[in-house]
Amino acid sequence: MCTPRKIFIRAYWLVTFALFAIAIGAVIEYAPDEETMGPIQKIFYLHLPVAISTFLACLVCFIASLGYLVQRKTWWDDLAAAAARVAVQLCAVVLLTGMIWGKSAWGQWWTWSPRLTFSLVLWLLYVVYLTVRVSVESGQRRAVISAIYGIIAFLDVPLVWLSVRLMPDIHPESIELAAPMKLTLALWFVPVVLLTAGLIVAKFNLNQIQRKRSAVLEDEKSTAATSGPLHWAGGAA
Amino acid sequence: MTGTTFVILAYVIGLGLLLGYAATLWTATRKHNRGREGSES
Amino acid sequence: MTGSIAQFQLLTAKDLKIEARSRQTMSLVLVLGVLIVVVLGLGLGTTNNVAGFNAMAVLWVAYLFSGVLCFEKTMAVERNDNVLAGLMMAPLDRGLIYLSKLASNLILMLAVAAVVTPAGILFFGFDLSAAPGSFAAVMLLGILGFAAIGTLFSAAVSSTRLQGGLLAMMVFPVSLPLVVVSTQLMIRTFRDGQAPGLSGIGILVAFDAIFLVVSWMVFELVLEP
Repeated sequence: MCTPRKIFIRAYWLVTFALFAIAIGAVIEYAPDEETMGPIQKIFYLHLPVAISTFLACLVCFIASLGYLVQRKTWWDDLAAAAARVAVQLCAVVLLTGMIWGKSAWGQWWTWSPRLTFSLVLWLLYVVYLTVRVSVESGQRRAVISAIYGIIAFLDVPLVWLSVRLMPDIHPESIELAAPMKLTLALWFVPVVLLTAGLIVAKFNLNQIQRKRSAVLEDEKSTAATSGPLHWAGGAA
Repeated sequence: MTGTTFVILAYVIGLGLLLGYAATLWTATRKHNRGREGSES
Repeated sequence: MTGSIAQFQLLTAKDLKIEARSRQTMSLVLVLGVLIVVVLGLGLGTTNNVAGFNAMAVLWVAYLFSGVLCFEKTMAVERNDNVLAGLMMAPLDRGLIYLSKLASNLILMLAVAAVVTPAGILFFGFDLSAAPGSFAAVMLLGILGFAAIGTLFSAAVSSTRLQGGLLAMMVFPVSLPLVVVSTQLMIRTFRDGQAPGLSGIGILVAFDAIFLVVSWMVFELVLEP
């Protein structure tokens, strides 16, 4: 069935993947090698947009957590959970690309530099968010606890950022970007942000579907218990 | 490992995690929708 | 206004009296704290690779673990005998419940620190004579921030099954700025001889201020009889 919504979704992802293809092409062919660092610097084109998107996802989680506490509507909770899940995925990419960069540029997989430490702590903050959700069984309690943690975690982010700047930064990087590099970077920002938004919406939809599904199951259980043999035609959950 | 190898590694892992997750979401959503459509027939 | 202060004193005194009678929480938490310092001392201290100021990190590990236990216990007191339900029905400003819980937690944590800190200083040979004031200030600001978050989260999870583990998991990452700042400041002060700049202490103060206010505001949403 080709509803306008489905057409939009397909077009959206088509555009996003096409942009990724173009962006990858730009990294291979168009972007020049940086003088001091050589080809390694090209990791930057993926690393920075994903880092910014991580922050955006965390922001969405924060707003959704606030929204839930104020309005107590379950879709805020679903949105917060979706945003946090996407943030964890994005932050894992930031962390890993950062480590690969560190290994290739300075020979070490890990240093307690401000950037790497910040990525690690941010990742942990939101992994904990997801684990909190897994650990609380009652739906409503889970939503409240997650929302409060979501708010506190986000408020913590600038404090983490400030505190890690006190750590020794043995390899400070200042990258001078030539014009083609700036263009390549911009070329990467678009598909990454589109992907982030798309992932959050997709996960949000999945959360909503799962919520409705378990609500239906709960209903079934109670009606089956109280009434006679009820025949529910159709597929299993 | 040369610099270029590291770059390729970074992109493969990075894009793999992102696009792979997109694929996971897509499959999961389709599975749910299939289940739902089955029950409505 | 005086009514609020009196209520606050009552609530705090109640908690402390309960604790004074049973001494349950205190013994547990104290012993745990000291044991952690000893374990880390055994593991790290024997090679002479660990400098005195690294004791700050060890102390934080001890505070974090014993603190979480402490917060969990003080919140558990409310669950017994339905005290919390009673409190919530009373015409009390809910924020006061937070402040009184925070005060009890702080007093208990400071009592723990009074024992664990000297142990850490001793076992790691931390020579404080250069800047004892900086050490004390950093430690106190850190414990305050930690207790602010811990009190809020312990109330949030006290009704769940997994309580303590969940609490530890939530408090640790949020408290990391405290650990980072205090350890870095100790390194700068005691190894490099720099006075702790405003920026370091500033972060601690900002942490405390932000989370005290937010926790106080959000606390009543978290209570559940």
